[in-house]
Amino acid sequence: MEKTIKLVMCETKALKIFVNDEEKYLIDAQNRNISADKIYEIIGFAIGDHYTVLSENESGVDNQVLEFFTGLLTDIAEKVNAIDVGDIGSTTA
Amino acid sequence: MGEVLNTVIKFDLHIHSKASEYKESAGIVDQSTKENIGVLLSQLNQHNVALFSITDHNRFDPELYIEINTILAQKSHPYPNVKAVLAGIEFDVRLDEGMEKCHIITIFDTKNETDKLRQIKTGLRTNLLTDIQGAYTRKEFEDILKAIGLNTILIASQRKDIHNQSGKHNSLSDSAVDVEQIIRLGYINALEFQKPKVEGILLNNLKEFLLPVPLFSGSDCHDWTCYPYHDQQNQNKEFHHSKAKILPTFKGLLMAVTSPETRFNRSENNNPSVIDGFVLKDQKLPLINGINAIIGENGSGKTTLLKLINGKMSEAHVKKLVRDNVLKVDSSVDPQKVRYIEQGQIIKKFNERTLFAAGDESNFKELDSTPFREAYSTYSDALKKGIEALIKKQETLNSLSKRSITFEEGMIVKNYYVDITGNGNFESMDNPHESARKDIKSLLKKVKSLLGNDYFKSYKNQLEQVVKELSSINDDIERKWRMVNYEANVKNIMHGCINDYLRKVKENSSAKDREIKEYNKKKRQVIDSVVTAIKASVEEIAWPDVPPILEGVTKNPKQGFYFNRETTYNGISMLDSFFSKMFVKEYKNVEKLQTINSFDQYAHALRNCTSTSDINNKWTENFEKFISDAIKTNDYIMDGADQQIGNTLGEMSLSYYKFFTQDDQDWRVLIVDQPEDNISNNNISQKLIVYFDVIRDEKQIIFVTHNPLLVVNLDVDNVIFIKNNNGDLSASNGCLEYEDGQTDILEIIAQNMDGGKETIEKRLKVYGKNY
Repeated sequence: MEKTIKLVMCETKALKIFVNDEEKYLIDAQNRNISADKIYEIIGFAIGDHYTVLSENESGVDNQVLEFFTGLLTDIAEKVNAIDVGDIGSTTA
Repeated sequence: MGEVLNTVIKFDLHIHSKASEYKESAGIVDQSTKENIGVLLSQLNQHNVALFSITDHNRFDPELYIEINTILAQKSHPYPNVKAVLAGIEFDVRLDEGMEKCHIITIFDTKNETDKLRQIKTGLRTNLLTDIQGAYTRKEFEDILKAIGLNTILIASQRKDIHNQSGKHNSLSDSAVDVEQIIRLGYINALEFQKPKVEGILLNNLKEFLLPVPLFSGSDCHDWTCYPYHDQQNQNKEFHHSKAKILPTFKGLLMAVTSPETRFNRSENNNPSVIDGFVLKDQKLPLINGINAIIGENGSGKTTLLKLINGKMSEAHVKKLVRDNVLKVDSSVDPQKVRYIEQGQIIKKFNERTLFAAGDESNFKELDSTPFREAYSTYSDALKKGIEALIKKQETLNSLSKRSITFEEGMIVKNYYVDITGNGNFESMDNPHESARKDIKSLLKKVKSLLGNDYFKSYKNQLEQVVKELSSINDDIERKWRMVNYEANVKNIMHGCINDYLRKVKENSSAKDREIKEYNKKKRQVIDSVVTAIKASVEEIAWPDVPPILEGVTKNPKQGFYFNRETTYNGISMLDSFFSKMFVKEYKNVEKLQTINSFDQYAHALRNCTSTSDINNKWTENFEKFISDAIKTNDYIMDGADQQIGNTLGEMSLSYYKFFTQDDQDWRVLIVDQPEDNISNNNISQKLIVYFDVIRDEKQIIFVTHNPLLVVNLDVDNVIFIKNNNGDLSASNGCLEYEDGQTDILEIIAQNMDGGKETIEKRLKVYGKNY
């Protein structure tokens, strides 16, 4: 299915991550950190999924931070979109 | 020298003389008189009848017998084929009240003594029938026999189906209410028929009783000039004489009625190659073309005699005994045609597991368990890969929590050098076509080799087609394999170059540059770990299919036996065994193994494994143990298609004799030292005797024995009794019924063999007389 990951920089400098408009995570202004397992959870991959990453910064604050995390998720989304399930096959066949 | 059984004789126990006159129509027996006895003897001689009896209706003429005995006692009489006469009477007896009469031929044991012959006439006179339609009651009949006081053999006339009790045929079934009972009790020792078709009917009847009752034919000749027919008018052209392998004596007849299966319907042994006998000092002792049993006390020299006969005289004590007693063997048999089973040989071979070996070759065929090993190797390998993939997947997910990235402002700055990432991917990798390439090459080689095999000549075209198809697959895989190999070479070169470049960059980088580089590396690691985890999460683990149930048995049919070698895995699923050998109880199936998500759990699941570093070794060790147990073979022998022979020494010995005696190879003589060793008396009676009996008309059998069953019940043709008096051997011999002034074979058996007396008594029990 098509999934849109949207990163929204709030006026409060908190960074919200939505997937198909559902808020999945919040990176707060004091700790600009995200773990790999949280990203895995946000993506919630299932076979057939395809991702698009968007960003929004209406207040124009901390744009560099938004670009950093958008870049990070875009990199991941591109690689996940490139996964050919047929190629994965099985480990023991 | 005693008399042995080496010929089958004809006999006729139903001939009348003038003494029957009172019951017969006028003139029919007028010429059958003492004066004309030469007519009968001449006819008997001409028809090769060795033993006969004149059995008149309720009468007995001792003078006729005395005359016959006088003639036959002459050294050269003109009837050489006629050997002896037995005293007898044909009685009319009504066995049960309310029934008709029957004819019972009664043979007396007179030993041709004149007094005993006259004793018969005297006894008969105690109640002489005069009415031609008259008959004795059972009691009257028994009283007469008691008055005569001689041992008897009773042969009842039966001229029709045994169930036919309509009367008028003077048959046993006309006279006895319960025919089966009277036969089973041994009151009647044999049945007499006259026409061959009646013999067939009676044989079927007697099968129902499961008692081997002998059937005799009797000519019922009244007019001797017409022998073997009744008289001028009544001629039974279908008549044929009964034959038996007996001495022409009462005791010989007694042996026949107590063991009809070994005495009747015997053919002459045509084995052209036999050991003729041996000489002890000046005494010639024959070995006959049939069964010879050597008996005697322990240490009497029986085994020595066997060794001498077989030419195996290496031991000093054997040589001495042979020399001191001037023992010689009279034999021209090719040693290759003699089979010798010495004492203890079977036990030795049994212990060495070579009992049924043919020379150096086992009768059990080799068994190839490679298909089983391959099936379970594939299964085991796939299972192992599956478990490891599970753990890897879990570890990938677990590692996510250890990676995170924090935005750091100063780290976004660009540096002056071109950074090259992903160089690690250029490290050496396995060629995914390696295994397939190996397999297809091996298969192709195998199929090509079949083309050169003569057996597959008729399949040449099909095989060439297969080679063509396989070659095509091989070429394709070979191309892919080369491509990957080529790529690997290129990547390897690039890997080296990039490393050189990065090293130079590092040399020229500032501390800040390096810090930025490390930061970016960390970021990439986060990205890679998420992507790897996603890939792992959707990766399908193909758990292997259950290995097929395979056949693991070889069957070698030989001489009526099947020599089977069977693996544990033959025809059954070994999956449970596999799991119990490989894993601990809690992980006894694939579903349980699919819950493993760490190496610690993996080590715990694996049987006998105590640490994660030991997993590979223990897996291999457990697997090899499983294979080793599964391919263990059990050798067993089937006698026929459905009877498995037990593995005890006794049962194996018994089967060995069957196997060893019933092949179709060209051997002539079987010499055995104590065949009864290790075999129960029941099996000797039920089986071993049968095995020897089956070949007695084709081979010469010589054995030493202490078991009276093998002498009395096997009904050997020649018993040789050896005595040893401080190294001085003496011997006597003869068939079971042989007796003369010095030797009585049954007496020797009774006196010198443990259980001999009881065995003889048991055999004669059916005859109803005490020995």
